[in-house]
Amino acid sequence: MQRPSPTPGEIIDALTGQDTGRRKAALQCLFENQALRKRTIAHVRRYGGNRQDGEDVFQEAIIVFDRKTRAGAFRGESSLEGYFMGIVRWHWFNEQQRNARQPVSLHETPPEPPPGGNPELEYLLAERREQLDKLLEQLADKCRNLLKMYALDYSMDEIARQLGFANDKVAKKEAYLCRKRFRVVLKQHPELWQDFILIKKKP
Amino acid sequence: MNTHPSDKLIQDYLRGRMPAAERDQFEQQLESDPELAEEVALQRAELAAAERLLESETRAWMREWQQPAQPAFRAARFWWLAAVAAGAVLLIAAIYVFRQPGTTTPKDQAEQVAPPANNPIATETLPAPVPAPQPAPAQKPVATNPAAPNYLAEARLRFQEPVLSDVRRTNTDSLVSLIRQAQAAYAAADYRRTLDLLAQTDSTRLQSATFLEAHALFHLDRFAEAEARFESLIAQNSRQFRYPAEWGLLICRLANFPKREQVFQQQLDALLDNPQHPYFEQAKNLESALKK
Repeated sequence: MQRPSPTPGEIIDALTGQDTGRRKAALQCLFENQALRKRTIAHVRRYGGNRQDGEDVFQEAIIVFDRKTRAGAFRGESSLEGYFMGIVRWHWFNEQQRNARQPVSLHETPPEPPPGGNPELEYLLAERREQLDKLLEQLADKCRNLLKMYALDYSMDEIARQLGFANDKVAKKEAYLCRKRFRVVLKQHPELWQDFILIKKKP
Repeated sequence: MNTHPSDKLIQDYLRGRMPAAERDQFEQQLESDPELAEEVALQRAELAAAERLLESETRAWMREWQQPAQPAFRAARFWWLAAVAAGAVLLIAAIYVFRQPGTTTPKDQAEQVAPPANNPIATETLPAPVPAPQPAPAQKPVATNPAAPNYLAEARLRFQEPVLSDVRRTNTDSLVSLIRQAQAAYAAADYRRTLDLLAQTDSTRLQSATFLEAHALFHLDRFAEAEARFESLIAQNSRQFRYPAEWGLLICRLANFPKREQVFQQQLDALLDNPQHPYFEQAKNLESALKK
């Protein structure tokens, strides 16, 4: 029997669906995809990185791929490998620019950013990680779990089922309280709050 | 998590799901409506924080998946170093032995190191036998063939999650509470805690608890134990769980390849012989995927 790889359609369904187990399995399939990992490491090594950099970029690319797929940017119309490698090239290019580890040759065309998603959100996730973590530390576990499901765009029914609330109304009330709490915490950090208010189209 | 009527619009904008023309219009509206701009900023912050939580969760999973692979990776990477070191020791030892004046040949040594047991003089006058350095056993790197079948990943993808609300109410309140907590732990992918909580119930008497337990065991890669739980549900001819348990059993066997290949094939063939089986189509898909 040959290796039965999940199709891109199956991976998209699992990442955009409302089933944590399937989502985890799809991410694990990507993580254990040796061909993708090797291509990533080869690209990074070719452009001045080492094996460990390649491994880091591979893991980062899985996270970005997941986010973009959930945002509907990858629908399986192009090849999964091609889209994934686009993320890898873009991420490694930015990483080098940021660290100024290797001057980018003028003859080298910068890679195209992978299409789709939300640039403001990508900017915040790249540049405001620590501040976001500080905010999140001030929330209870229950609230953090609710927020996670919010990112996954789960329905209230699904949230109730997964977090053990009696019904969708209770889940809705809990979600309201959690968002309220988050907003209070956010406004206690004016420097970050201003950033969120002012952000329009940062690179 | 949409609670406000305009939330959907804001969410579409923030999640990049708004068509370009509509987006431009919405951005113009944002310029002129500070209240809307503030609401968008707040929701953007919520979304960023939520995405950050998801990132952390995915990173934790990746650490978990990486752990079993790590020793093999190290062994694969450094086996040749051990072999080179052993070879060097052997070479130095050989040079040392041959350069000694009056050195005996290896043949003589072999004869000397095994003196007759009944010759006490020989044992006293000869130096203690030094065990000859053994060459390091040829250690092969653990092959990670990218084209090797990855049945485990396939099994994980096809494993069907339980519908948690199906877990029926039981008579005692404490039991209800325990099972609910176990469900919540399972939903949060905390499978060890799920098992701990279920261990406090007599899961052998509760089919729903056994069903959940089997799923948690699967996620912890304890396939043989998960198989046993699914088998027990089938043996009980559980009306509610029989078919899902049969599918779970099949997937556990797939995950446990090649050890369980034979029984897996038998079970798959039996399932494919029964078009009335609720998992017939899934079995057909699985078979064609495996044949590809």
